[in-house]
Amino acid sequence: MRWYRTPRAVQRGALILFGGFVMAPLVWVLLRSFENPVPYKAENFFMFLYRYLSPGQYIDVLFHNLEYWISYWNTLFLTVPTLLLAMFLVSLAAYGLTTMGDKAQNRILAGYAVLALLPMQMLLVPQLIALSNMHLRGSRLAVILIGSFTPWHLFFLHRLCRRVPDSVFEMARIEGAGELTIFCRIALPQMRMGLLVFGIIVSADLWGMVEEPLVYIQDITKYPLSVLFAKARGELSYAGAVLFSLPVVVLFLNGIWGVMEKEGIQG
Amino acid sequence: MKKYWFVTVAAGMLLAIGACTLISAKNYAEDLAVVTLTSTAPNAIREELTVDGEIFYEEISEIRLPTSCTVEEVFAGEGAWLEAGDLILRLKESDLQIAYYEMLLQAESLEETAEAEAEEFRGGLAAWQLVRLREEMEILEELISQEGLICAREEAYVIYQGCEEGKRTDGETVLKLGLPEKGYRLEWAVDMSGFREFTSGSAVIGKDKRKLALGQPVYKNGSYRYSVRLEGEERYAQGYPVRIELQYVSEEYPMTIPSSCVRYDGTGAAYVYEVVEQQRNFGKEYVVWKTGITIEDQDEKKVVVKAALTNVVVRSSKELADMDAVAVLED
Repeated sequence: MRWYRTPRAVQRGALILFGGFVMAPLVWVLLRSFENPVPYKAENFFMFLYRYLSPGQYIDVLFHNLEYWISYWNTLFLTVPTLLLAMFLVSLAAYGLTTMGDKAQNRILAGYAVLALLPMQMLLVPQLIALSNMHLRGSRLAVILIGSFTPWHLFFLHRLCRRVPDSVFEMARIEGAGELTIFCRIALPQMRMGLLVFGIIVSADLWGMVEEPLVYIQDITKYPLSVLFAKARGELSYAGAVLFSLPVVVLFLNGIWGVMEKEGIQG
Repeated sequence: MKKYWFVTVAAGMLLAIGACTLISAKNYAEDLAVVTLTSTAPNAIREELTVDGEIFYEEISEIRLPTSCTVEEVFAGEGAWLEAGDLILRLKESDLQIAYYEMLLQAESLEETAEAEAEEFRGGLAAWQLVRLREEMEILEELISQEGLICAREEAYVIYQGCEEGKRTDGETVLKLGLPEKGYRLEWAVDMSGFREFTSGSAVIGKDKRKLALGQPVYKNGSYRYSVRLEGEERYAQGYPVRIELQYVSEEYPMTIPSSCVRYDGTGAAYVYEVVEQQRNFGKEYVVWKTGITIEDQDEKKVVVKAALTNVVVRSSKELADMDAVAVLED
């Protein structure tokens, strides 16, 4: 069978078209973030520049928006512990699962898959009741725990952990290594790249969480920035959105470069 | 070094976030307007008004001389006190009779004209002139019957006479007589815009200050005119300048606020800023809300409002706008 090769110009055109389509909202937000918060009438070129190329929004957000920065810290207080706890628990669980027999692994994973497929709204009420019984409702720990024990995390990391051959673990056991040693010295280094990708994806997910804090915290002083964005009606500028997404972008780029370097992929 | 790049970036971002938080907190505190608050309280409206008044002598009657005639004799000059029946003037009787006959002829002519007007359904000027003429003729008849003598009908004081013996009057002469029992009166006017139903007042006449018993004013030509009798103030000349100090104290209104609370927008509508507490993520925040008010009454210091208001801004260290965050100064 002879494949028809699409001309390079068409390929590039399609790439620009779809890439532009995906990037359009981001570019729009970035451009609007330089718009002067005071709507001056652009009567001449300099006024036009002052209107549409002004650091005003950034100055407002950076130095005159205490609420924004308090929420920023709230986001960090929720995201970082959740991510670290999730990585720790999930890597342990994934390793533990690989030590089981195939049949048991498949059954447990099937259970996790069912839980992961359940819509969040279905789990909301039982989780809320459980947290209330634990007297955790209204505290940040509620969101951290719920975020750390998300079923699809295990599902994701288990696939990576299974790539390590069982014989490696068997060899270590024969040599007299304990389970903790095997986990720390063999499993974790093997899963490092997977954990990095997992961290990038989960942190992006956690950074923008809205429903969990709204439901479990119910306290404006502890709400993350994503909730503030959801509640705000135009008070937070485009610059606020750019600054909010900056850590995720840095983490993503840094992580991707790390993965590419490790895997030997040329940029 | 490359190994710790991520840690360096993360630490840098944390430092940047911390710095921005501190600067924002500092700017937030500095940007706050410091306000003092009050609430509606029961109070009465008090207003004071100072106007100029004048002393007048009340005139009792006017005696108009109906025609031009010679004054034969003057019995009482200006300032003379008269008993009932005292003579004032004697007019030349022949002049009065001549004038009377002239008027009689004029009346006949006017009667004809009036009849013609009535037949032709024209105006009524002649008829009106005839009525006036007959009134004057009646006065003349009375004077002729009294042999030209004009006398006082009751105890009176001659304010103005304007007649000299042997000279003719001009036909417009009016004798003005004052009644001693009515005495001096103090009169002043209050412009409609500044009018209140004043509850008390005092008059500063020279160095004296007297309390006044205020009566009902009379509205005339856009102002309210007061007239108050002055007891025993004959020593003051007519037209003597007087300063009138009027006070108005209303009944106690249940809801008043200081005038400094009230602001006016471009359309002239009155509003106040009420401070409300709202929960922000950094704690409680006080925010001003623009609340429109209806002013029922006011004086220089207080304003009467319809609805109860709490935590109204009295003074502010900065110009306020709706939804501005403020710091509240404790009393």
